[in-house]
Amino acid sequence: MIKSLRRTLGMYKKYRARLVISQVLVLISATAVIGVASLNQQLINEGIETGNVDVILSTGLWMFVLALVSGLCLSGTAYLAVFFSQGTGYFIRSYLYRKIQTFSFGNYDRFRTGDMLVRLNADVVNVQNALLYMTLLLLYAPFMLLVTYILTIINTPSLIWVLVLVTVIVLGVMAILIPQVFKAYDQRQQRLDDMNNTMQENLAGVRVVKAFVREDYEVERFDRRTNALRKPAYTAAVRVAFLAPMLTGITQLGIVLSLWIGGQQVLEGSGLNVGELVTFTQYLSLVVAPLAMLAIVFPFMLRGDASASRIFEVYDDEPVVQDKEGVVPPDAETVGGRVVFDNVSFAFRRPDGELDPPVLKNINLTIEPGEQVGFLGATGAGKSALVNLIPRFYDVTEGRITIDDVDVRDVPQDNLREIVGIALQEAVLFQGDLRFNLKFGAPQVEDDVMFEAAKAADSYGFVTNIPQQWEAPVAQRGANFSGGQRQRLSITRALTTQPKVIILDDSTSALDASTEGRVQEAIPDFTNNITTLYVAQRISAVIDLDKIVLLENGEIVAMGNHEELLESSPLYQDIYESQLGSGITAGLDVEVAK
Amino acid sequence: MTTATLDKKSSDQEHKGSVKSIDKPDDTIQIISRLMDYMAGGDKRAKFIRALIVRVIALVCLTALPFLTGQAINVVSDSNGTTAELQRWVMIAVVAAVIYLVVSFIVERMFADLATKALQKLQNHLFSHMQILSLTFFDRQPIGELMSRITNDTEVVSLFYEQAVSPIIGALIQILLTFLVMLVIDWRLSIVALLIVPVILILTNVIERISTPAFAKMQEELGSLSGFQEESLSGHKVIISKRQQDWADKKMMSLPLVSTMSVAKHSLPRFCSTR
Repeated sequence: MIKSLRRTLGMYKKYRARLVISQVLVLISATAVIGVASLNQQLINEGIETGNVDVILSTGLWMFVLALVSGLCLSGTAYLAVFFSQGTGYFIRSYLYRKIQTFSFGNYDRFRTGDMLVRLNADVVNVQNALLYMTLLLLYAPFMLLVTYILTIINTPSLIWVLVLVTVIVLGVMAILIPQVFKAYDQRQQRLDDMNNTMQENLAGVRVVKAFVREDYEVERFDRRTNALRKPAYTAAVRVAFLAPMLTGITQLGIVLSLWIGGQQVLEGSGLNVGELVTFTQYLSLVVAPLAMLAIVFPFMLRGDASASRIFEVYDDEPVVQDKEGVVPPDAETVGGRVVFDNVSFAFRRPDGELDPPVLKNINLTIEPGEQVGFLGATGAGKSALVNLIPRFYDVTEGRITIDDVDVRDVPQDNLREIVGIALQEAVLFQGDLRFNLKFGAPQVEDDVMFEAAKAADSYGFVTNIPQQWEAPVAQRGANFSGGQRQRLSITRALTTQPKVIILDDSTSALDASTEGRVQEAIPDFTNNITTLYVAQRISAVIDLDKIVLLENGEIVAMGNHEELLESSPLYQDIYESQLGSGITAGLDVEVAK
Repeated sequence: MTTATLDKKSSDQEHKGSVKSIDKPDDTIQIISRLMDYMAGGDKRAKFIRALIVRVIALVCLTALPFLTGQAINVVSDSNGTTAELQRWVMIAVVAAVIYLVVSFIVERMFADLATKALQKLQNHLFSHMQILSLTFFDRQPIGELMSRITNDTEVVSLFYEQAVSPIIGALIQILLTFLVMLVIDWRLSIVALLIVPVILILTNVIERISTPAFAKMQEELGSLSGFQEESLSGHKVIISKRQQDWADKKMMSLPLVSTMSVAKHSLPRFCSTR
């Protein structure tokens, strides 16, 4: 039981000694509390009843000292428990994040970004809380219960059934109420997630909302979410708030019952005295509080265990793509950039480890150094999957890919990604400034290289028009730049690393045709003999390239330059006709005729 | 106006200054008063007052219970005490305890209703207000940070409404009632017992002074942390493709909240203040 949570206990070895000390303090504190209650008997029987002032004073002093010891020990426990739980939380959070940084694309396919964020935050907090309560109560409550029962059996055996009755009632009530509280909290959490998602969507798409004047609609939508949230929030709040008065009421009724039963025994002179009776009522109070706390904390521990299990699921996952041992990095300067796909097939892997149907089948392709090649095809044809195999974002399922006759799996990933640069479909920029973003892959390069890359990617002009130029601030995800600007900056970033092979994965989709053309013309001038691979859905993006590879359902169905394909491939002709139409066809015909 | 134009406009505005954080009010009383207005202001005032009255009834019963059990113990201690006398006090105590349970249930429902409605109103106001803010505001505030402010901070406000207002009011009334009963029983012992109050007040004040700014700072740092995590995990493809995992790791570790001492420093007073 709580196997995952127990595993977290051993993770943070630095504070293990403090954990042990905290538990010793817990036991001292509990003993002192029971001591104070037990001294009531002496105070009443030997002090108040007999009018012995010395006994009253000495007992009172002992009670004060014990109460002080208990308070100090409990404070010490709280201090150590907070350090232990937060320290473990810190450890888990930072190491989990570090582990995530070793992941490949395949791991991210398995654990989505939002999912990982929940594990890094909410799940870590759940584990922290569970550890905190475990440290504080897991030993305290059972110890208190055990000692109180033993003392009751020794001192007031005739009232033990009252203690049992109150224990059973408290546990019964908690057993009914606590699941209701957690059910309400779970529903509240779900509604809260819905509300947060609506908020997140609104914030992410705030420009669209404003552009289409949909603010009122959004407000109404959000209002529905908060309304849905209120009901479970109300149920949870009532249950939680009523818990304390109910336990107080049960305790008081238990005390009254023991006074009625025990009081009659005292009045009848059947063995019980006033001191014993008062002490018993104290024990009754001592039993209820830890019992209630334990009942409250137990579901927290279950929840913490579930969260710990989710955390370890990520923590124990291994990067899908790893470097082979002993691979020797090639000299990047001497790499020519000849890329060969040798009978390559590829399938994505499902979370259970099984392969999905292949998205690439028997790909054979040779790309010569300096060649400009375009990959064209419909959505899902396998274009991005194909180019993602070159820098080993994924590994091939069958066959091999070589660069200058060296299998990419025999090249360390660090070196491979120096050789192969990529501007991804989604042009993500990070918060910081432009210089930081543009040199993200190669912080050491001279500014001149960045300037030249910016000129090739057609971003130099708009950057130099910004007053702060290369120091201009970049908001999170580059939200303060337009889509086209972000794409050009993304291409600049890819070029700044001066790769031998550059992949533009649909990264010119937001550019107009003339800008796209300028970028295509400028890239070969930026680095001599650079191999350039374009992934595109628009035929205009690849029309002027040396070679166009036409993909359909994961297979190469045609290959050649524009004119060759127009002549030989019916699919290419269809795409061409649908995208550019007969007007341009006519023009090209004239050119071809010339 | 097209999205692109809006982007360009906001981009230009962005470049006129550095990224700023939202100004925050620092007057605690003013903030609490504003928050309480959602719960006890306007059309909620009458219901809030009714809830207070019911709370007083519950606490009168609760405060009477130790007095009644004390009387029962007196009967037992008295050599002339009778079972009939004991029975009388026990019965009155049972009635008081039952009334306390029933009335507490009613009052907790009333306060929970007020609390959840107050929070809903606050959330709706916040969202509506955000809809009228300019794009410049959103350009200057990372989404992760805004989300953290809206999600984490409103969660804390919900704790204030649901778990602080009612217990604090209850505690204040109970202190007053208990003190009155103590005076009735024995005024000299009451004064001796009161000697501990200044110590408690000083300790509470010290904890509050440490806890409040530390907690505010922790919430702020939590915002930065969530913001960075959201940004770096969403941009994982770029980080992997540029082999900048070390940068992400170092940046994460440099954020204040992931330092153990920092977390413990913020959490300890917060935790102690709840004990």
